[in-house]
Amino acid sequence: MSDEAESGRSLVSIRTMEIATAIVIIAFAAVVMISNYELGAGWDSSGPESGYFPFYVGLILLISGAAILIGELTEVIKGRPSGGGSFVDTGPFVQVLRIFLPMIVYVIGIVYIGIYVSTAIFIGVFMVWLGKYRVIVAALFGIGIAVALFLTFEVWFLVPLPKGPLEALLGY
Amino acid sequence: MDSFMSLMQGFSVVLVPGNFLYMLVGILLGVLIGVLPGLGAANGIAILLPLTFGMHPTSAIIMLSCIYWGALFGGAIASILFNIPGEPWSVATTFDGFPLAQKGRAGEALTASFTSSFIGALVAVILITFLAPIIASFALQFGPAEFFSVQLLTFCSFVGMGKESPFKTIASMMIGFALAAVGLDNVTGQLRMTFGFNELLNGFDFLVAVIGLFGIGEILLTMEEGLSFKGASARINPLVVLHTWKVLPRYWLTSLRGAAIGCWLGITPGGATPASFMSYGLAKRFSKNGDKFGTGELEGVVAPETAAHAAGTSALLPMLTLGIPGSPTAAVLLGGLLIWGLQPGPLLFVEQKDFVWGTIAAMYVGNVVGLAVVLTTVPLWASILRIPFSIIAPVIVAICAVGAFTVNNAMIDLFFMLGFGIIGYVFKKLNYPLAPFVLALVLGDKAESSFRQAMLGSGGSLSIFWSNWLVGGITALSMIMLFWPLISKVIGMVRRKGAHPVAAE
Repeated sequence: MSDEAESGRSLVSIRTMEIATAIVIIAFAAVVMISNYELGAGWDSSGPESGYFPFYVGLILLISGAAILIGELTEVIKGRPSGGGSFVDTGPFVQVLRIFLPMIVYVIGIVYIGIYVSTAIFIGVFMVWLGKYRVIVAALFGIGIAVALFLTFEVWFLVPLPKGPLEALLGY
Repeated sequence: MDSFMSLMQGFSVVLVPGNFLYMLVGILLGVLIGVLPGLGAANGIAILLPLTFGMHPTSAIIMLSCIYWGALFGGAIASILFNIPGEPWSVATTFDGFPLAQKGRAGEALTASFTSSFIGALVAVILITFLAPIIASFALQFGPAEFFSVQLLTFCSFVGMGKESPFKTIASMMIGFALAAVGLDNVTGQLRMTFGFNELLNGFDFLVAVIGLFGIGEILLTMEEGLSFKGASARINPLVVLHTWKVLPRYWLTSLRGAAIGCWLGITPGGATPASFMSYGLAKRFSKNGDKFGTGELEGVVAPETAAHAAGTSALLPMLTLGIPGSPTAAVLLGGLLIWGLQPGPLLFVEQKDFVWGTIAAMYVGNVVGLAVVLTTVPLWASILRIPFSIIAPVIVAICAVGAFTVNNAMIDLFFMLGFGIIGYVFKKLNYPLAPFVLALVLGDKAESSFRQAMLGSGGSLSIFWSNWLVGGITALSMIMLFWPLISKVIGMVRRKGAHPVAAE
C-alpha cells in the first residue's frame, strides 16, 4: 500500500480547514442556541426551563468558535493565507477515501443484507483490492471472520446482530 | 488500617477461579488492543462493554479494567519493536525504545518498559487504596453546588493544562455538552434538539461517539499515513530480564518522578499522554546522560512508561470516588457502571463495598498478571504486528461496526459512528483535543442536573458557587485553571519587561 501513497500536491491547506471548521462550529452553536431559546431558556414556576443549560452551552460554543475564526482571519489579513502547511495532500487523501467509501457501502450493506455477509464481502474485497491477495485466500479469510463473529455473538454471548436473507435461509 | 482490611476483602472477591479467568481474558484482549493501531483502550472497552450486560458487575469491571492494563502494557510493544505507537501515550516510548531495538537490545527495552509500567501502576494503586476512602467519605457531604464545582474544575483543568489552544479545548468540550443534551430532558420530559427525528429521542450514545472518534478516526489517519510495518524481531529470555532488573534500580529517581507526574496528571484530567511527555522531558533535563536521550537510553524508556501507566491507573481515582472520570477510558468504565445499575460517586464506597474493593484489588492482581503475561508472550504480539494493514484495517472496521451496533441495537448508530469518525479525523489533524469532548458527552447530564439543582436552591443566583469556603475554593481554583493560559501569558510579559532594562544596560 505504502508504495502507492505518493504525497502529490496539497489538496487543502490547514488554514482553510481551520476556518471551515470554525464556521461549522459557529453554525452548530447557532442552531443549538436558537433551538433551545425556542424551547425556553429562562425560568418558570418550577425552576430552570429545559433549554436553560444547553442555551448557555451554545453561547460559550459560539464565543469560542468566533475566537478561533478571528484568530485565523487575522493571520490571513497579516498576509499568511496558507500558513500551517497542508491539511492533506491528494495522494494520502485518496488513501483515506479508499477505506472510507467502502466503509459507507459496508454500513449500508449491513442494513440490507445483514452484518455477517457484509463483513465477509468487505474484508474479502479489501484484501483483493488493496492487499493484492489471491481471491481464494481473501474469500476464505473474510468468511472465516464472519463465522467467528457469528459464533461469538449469536451462539456464545447470545447477542443478536443484524441478519439478512442468507441467515433467514439458514434458519436464523 | 481500615483500607487494608477492606482490600483483603477485595482480594477474596478477585481470587476466585471465575474472576481470575476474566482477568486473564481481559489482559490478553487488552494487549491485543494496545498493539493494534486503530483499536485503543477507550474504544476497545466501548466495543466490549455491551457483552458484559449480563455479567456480574464485579466480574465485568475486573475484565474491562484488565483490558485497560493490558492496553497500557501493549502500547509499548509496537513502539519499541516497530517504531509505531499503538497508543498515543507510547509516542514518547519510541524516542529511545526503537533505537534500542535497532541496536539489538529490544529485549532490554521491553523488559524495562513493562517493569516501569508495572511500578507506575503500583504506585498509583497504592495511592488509590489509601486516598480513595478518604476522598469518598469527604465527598459524601457534597451538595449539588459542590458537585458542579468539582465538575467545573475537571473541565477547566483541560483548558489550563492542555497543550492545545484554549478555545479549541472549550469548543470541543461544548460540542460534547450540546450533543449530550440532545433528546429527552430527564427533568421536564421535554424533547431537546431532536428536530422531529425519532432516532434522536435517546440522544447520542457516548460509546458510539468513542468508537467513531477513536476507532474510525484512527483508521482514517493510519490509512492516510499509508504505513507498512517493518520492525525488529524480539524474544525475551529470562537472562535478559534478570540482567535488566539488575540495572533498573539505578533509575529509581526517574521512576519516582515519573510516577508522581503520572499520578498528578491522572487525577486531574491531564491524562497519560501529556504525563509521558512531561516525564520524558524532565528525565532528559535532569539525567546525567540527558544528552544521549534519543539514541537508545534505557532511562528514556523508563521515564515515559512509568508516568503513562501511573496516569492511566490514577485516572480511576476520581472516577470511583466522585463519579468524575480522569480520562476517556475511565469515562467509558464509568458508563459501564451506569449500565450495570451502579451509581458512581462517594456512596459506592458505602453501598457497594465488594465492588469497589474488588476493583481495587483487581488493579494489584491484574498488573502482576499483566507483567507476567507480556514478558512471556512478546513474540506472539510481534507476529501479529506483521500482519499487513490491508487485512487489519477492514477487520478493525468490522469490529467497530459490531461494537457500535450492540450498544443500543440501533442501525442509526452505525451512521453516527461514521460521522464521529470524520469528526475524529478532522479534529485530530487540527489539534482539537478529543478527551474533553468525550468527558462532556459522558458527564453532560450529570453536570446539567447538579447545576440545575444548585441554581434551584439559590433561586437562579450564581452566588451559590461562592457560598462557603469549600465550594468557593473549588470554584476559585477552576477559574484559575480556566484563565491559566491568559495568566501565564501575563506572567511571561511581566518577566520579560522586568528583564528588559537589565539586558539593555
